[in-house]
Amino acid sequence: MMQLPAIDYAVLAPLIILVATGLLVLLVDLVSRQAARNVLYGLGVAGCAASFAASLPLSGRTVTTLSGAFAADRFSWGFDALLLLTLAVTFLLSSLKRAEDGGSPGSYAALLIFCTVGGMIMAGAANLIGIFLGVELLSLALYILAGTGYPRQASQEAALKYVLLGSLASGFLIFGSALLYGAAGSIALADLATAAASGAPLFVAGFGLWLVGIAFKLALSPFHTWTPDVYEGSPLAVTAFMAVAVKAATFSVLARFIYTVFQHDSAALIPVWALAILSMLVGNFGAVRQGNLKRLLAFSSIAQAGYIVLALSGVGSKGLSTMLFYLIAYGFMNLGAFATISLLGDGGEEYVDIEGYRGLFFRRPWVATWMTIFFASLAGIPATAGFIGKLLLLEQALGGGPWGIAMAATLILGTLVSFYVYFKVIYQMFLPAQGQAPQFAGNAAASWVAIAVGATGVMLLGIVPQAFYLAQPYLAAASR
Amino acid sequence: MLQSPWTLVAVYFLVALAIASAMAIVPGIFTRKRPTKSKSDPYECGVPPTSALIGRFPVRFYLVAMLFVVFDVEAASFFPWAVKLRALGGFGFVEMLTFIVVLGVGYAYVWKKGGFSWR
Repeated sequence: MMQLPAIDYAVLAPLIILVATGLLVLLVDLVSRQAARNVLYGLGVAGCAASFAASLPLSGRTVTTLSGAFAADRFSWGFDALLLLTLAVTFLLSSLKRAEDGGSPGSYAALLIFCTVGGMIMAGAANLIGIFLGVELLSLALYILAGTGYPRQASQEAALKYVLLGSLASGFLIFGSALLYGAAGSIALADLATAAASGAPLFVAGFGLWLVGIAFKLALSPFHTWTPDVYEGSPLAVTAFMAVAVKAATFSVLARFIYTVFQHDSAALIPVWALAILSMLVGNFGAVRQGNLKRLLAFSSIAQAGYIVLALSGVGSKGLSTMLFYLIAYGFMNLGAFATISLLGDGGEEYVDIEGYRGLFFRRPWVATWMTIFFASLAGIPATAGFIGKLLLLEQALGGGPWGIAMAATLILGTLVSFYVYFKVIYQMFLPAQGQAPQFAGNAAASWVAIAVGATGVMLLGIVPQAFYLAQPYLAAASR
Repeated sequence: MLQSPWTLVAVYFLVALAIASAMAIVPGIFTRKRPTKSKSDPYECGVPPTSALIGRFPVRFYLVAMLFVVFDVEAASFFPWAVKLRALGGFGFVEMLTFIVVLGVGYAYVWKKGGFSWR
């Protein structure tokens, strides 16, 4: 008999349920002659709920399975919950726009589900192969999803750009992983710490290449150039998913890697801090001149990725809960913002020109009010989740030595610039109406549910942030 | 520095770079350029080219090629399992059944959606 690794199926249950849901969606799409999109998306949402239910017994526990390749702890649990919520909201947003799933709702829904499975693998991956597997599953599905707005040329362009640049980044990631393995003689993250401490050139080279791959997926500057085009071309719901789920999953990988492998003042991390500073500047200054709301949110996501890196500087594992807090807040405000955008535009076409939002408040006061709240939260106005998140990030960065202080200063500068960016949109909505106004989506109940989810999160985390700390997550294995 | 085993790697890269650059640059300096029509034609096994190089290609070919690669590679993963069938025992059997079910769903999807029909 061969020695097989022990498999704890309870730990893998959330993943298995989600994969099964994806297969079921494909089969239902085959069996039902007239593919009922809402049935398929409803199945997807039910799968999210079932997967979340299966992950409940895991909350608060720290277990590993598959010979230590896959970990379930409070850290991965928090990310799994965020990913599942994002998937459910994405299904809600997808049900609104008719043309955006490429006329094939079955494969669209299945790809979204497999994408989320990839993200959950990333959140739990405790070795280099697991990380790469998750990244690839997530990316391959997303390349196709970016192109599902098929008749629009911008969507084809987005898919092509994403797949070409994304494959290059995957090459960096896997080559970096190979060098890291060469330096440490092991693929387990826990074993890389020794090689990191020795500062071997092979390790430094490996980490550098690995970081390029990760920075690409996070859209950290200078590896952000794909972001505005891909965000603009992809269908709106896919863009929302991309902005939240991909970022969350990839940050879970970066955080687990850095917390497991490095000391917080390690010189090898200086490139990470430099990427963060550059991203905050490029993202905020780049957003200033954007007239397309999706491009504006793309630059915003570049800047926000820079902010989130601050959570990794500084001493202590508190940074992990700060990161999770900011990512959850970021998820709520982005999903909310995309949900309000999805209300505009009719007949499957989306409307993303900022000029068209002129006078929105006088025609649709509630849409404009919620949009104002989500954008205020992105800017970081008090009483919203974004403000508390930035406060926690600043606190974390100020404990991180000179680089932490430099990042904190850049965050404040970037926030000042971003006030102009976000208030440019808000300002338009409160100007007197003028000229041709965009149509509104007809049956918008799904978007309103999504807005309600985002608004609840933004307000709850902004006004009673303690709600989050009742379930404060941490990485048990990697406290500094 | 010289004692480091990485010095040799660095030397190797430099030599490789120098040779490759020399091969790309030196002929451009010393050759006489007298292009004729047949010299600048694309090489097609020695016969005159029969059609324009940039043509439109039915996307069906790519579909067939992709499906072939997907199912061929997955079929290849049956071989190691079959060789070690007894050693892997019941666990390996159930794992492979799961794999076949996942593969089968994909196969059924492609079939029913008309991926195999030559339209």
